[in-house]
Amino acid sequence: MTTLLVCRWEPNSIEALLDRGLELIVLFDEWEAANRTFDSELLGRISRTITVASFDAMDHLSIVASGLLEEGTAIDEVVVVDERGLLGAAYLASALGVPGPSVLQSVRVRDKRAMKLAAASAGVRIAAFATLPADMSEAVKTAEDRVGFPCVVKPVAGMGTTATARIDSASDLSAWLGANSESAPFMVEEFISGREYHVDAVWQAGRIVEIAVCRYMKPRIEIDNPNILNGATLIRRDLDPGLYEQAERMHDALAGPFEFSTGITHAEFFEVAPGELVFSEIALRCGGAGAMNIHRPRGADMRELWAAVMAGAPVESLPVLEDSPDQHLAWLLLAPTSAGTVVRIPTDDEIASYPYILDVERLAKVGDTVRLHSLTAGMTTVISGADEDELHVRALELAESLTFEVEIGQAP
Amino acid sequence: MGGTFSTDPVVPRHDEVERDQSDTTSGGRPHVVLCRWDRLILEAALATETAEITVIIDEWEHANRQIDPQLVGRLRALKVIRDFDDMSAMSELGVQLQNAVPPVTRVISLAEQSQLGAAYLARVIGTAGPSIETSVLVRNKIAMKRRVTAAGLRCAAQVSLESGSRQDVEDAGRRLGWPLVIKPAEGMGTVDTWAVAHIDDLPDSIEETAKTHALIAEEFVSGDEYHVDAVWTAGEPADFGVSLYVVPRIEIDTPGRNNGSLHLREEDFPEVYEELVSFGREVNSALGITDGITHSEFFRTGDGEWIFSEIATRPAGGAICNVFGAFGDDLRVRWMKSELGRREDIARSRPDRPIIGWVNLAPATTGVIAQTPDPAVLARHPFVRQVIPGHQVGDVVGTLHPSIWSWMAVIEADDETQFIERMRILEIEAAFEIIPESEFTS
Repeated sequence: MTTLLVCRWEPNSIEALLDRGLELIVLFDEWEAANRTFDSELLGRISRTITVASFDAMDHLSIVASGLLEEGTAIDEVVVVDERGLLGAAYLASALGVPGPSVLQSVRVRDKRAMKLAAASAGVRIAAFATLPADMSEAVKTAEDRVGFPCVVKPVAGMGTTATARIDSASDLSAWLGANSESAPFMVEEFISGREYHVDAVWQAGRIVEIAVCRYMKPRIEIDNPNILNGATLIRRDLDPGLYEQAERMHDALAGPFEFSTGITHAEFFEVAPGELVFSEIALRCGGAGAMNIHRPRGADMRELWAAVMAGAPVESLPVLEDSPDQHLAWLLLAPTSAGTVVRIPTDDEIASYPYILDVERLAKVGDTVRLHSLTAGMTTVISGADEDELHVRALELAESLTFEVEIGQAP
Repeated sequence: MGGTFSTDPVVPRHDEVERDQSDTTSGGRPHVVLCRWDRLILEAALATETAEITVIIDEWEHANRQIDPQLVGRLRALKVIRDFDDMSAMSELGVQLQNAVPPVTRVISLAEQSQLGAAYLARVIGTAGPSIETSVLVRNKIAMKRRVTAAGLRCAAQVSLESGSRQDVEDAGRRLGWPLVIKPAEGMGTVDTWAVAHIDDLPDSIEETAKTHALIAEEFVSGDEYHVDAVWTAGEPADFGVSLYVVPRIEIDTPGRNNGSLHLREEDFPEVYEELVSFGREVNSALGITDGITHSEFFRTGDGEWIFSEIATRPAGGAICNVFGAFGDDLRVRWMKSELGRREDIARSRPDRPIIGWVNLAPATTGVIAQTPDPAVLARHPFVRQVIPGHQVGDVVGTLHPSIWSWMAVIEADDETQFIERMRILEIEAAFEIIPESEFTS
């Protein structure tokens, strides 16, 4: 039986791997052990769990690796299901001498400066960027001289839009850096105005076996309310084959420097003019929010395809994703609009009164404490509509009607 | 899809000094990264004048070590990172160094604390250096011995102790036999190492230590303990020295007594050399070690069997490397010359006395040092080749274990008996005055 060492907890990914008959040893970090709610049924299907202090602590990971070597536990591959486990997963694969993300690959994906340089080396267009020095005045000068305003400031090793902002002036940058110093070091990049997409691709032996392109309802940087148009519309290949060809060409170019082999990627890019794409970033994991769920009405959650290739299934036996010619799909995150303790969530009956909701995954439950950011947990839905305009109208309708009640001030 | 390309002269997290990237005065020389601060090694590396040198130190070193600004001025860069085991910090640094000018050609770890970080950094930069797999194997005694045993080489049998509890140790004793050696799975020297003759002699401190460190129990091997210090190039020993510890390390109960070793001349012990070169090659091969410095330990039983104990890919502690200075360059200097393209300049001569060795001269109690040995008194003996000062007045000696290195001397002798006599003289003459810390603070 194939045994995978899985870094961090993501229940859908883990369930998909288990459903393919794979044996799993799952590593959590201490934060997860203390804060996550683990599905006991899923835990029961896992061979073993190991808790490490942190996925960044080499000394702790080396002890895990030595322990596994000492026991003679056979690990066939190390896989990562969450961005924060990536450096650690690559380290473990290397220490154990088994397949998994490579150290170079993990650093190129985690460090946005390395990522952009690697993409540029493959001839892929990127936004101009600069790393900011620790000194505030030097940082502002660097941003002005090298990128200009407006620009986007973000941590060099961040995730999603956490600690990320559009900055319009030198004084705004000073103020923002002062308020976010705990996420340093930072980089700035050219502000790209245009439509933003995410592309999810399943790879087998360095070739794409499934790809989907979705257009965000609003560029991620513009989301100031996690409940409003916080989702993306699936672009049907039959309606925009040119976009798919461009996305595939970009991925083929990235495959070399990022060493894509068998697994899944989640990339983002901007369309600055028709047919003109600018690479934003790429991750070596399943897309978050509803990026995978959106394919459930098409035949399978994309994590099921990923799990199938990880289990070595041949291409012809992979689940098939199909589009209905008279239907467009979008994923949509519905979320509390203020930080605090959740006291009420939409009921099943309320959700059922909207027949265009095709899939629901509840993320927040009563009693949870929530913070406010673009990935604030509420619930992920997949909705259908006749066209993109109708999907937007329906997204706003749901934002207004399927609401979460929160007692403000209960969460940090 | 072609378009703009941004190069980014990445700004480091914390640079003490970095020469301007536009300074291309390297003259095509290689660029070597040294992890941790070691003045002697750094001076040796700079003296080769063959490479640009970047040094990485951690925040502890930055706060506690005397970093000589004159030496720093001769470096390509001095970079400070939070901790060598912090993968985020090391990956950030690696990204900077991927674009270093001139390109980094090798990463070398100078100390135990930087072994894992140096291997990771080399991989991130994509340059020569220790492999991650090897760095893990040499740091963890359990994994190391499993790998060496799997290669068919004789090691002391061992088991890991889950909790360090009495039951745990008793089970290990039943399996391995008494006495047992108990030590951390990841440790250096004989820090936190116990020889336990019987379960009734189990010290309480073992269970306490097990709360924070993974412990192993090991078969007690009776016999002589040797150490081998070598510099390897492409799997072959460029320098190779065998020494005999005065007593096995586990039998040292105070750091200033019987704490030393005698270097054996190859001409006097050709068979020992031949056997250990062969054994050393096989150990290295099992662990993936091909280049660099190693310090390994072996036991020889009464019936002449060699048993592998452990290996480290760093210079030895004590004055082991200094002993080589009695017949050419210090081993650390040989290592740097070997790594940095000056192999032909390595000074080597025949040891002019049968025995040259070293001895550790350390306080016998904990406390604050009020008086140190007089170096002139120690050096007046013609048999003393070198006196290496250690603890100074005001230093606090908090714990006593065999790897507390204090004052040391390199001495010569005609035979082992004479060496022991001379060692004893120095141990007596190396007078420390210690004030108990409680008395000092009150």
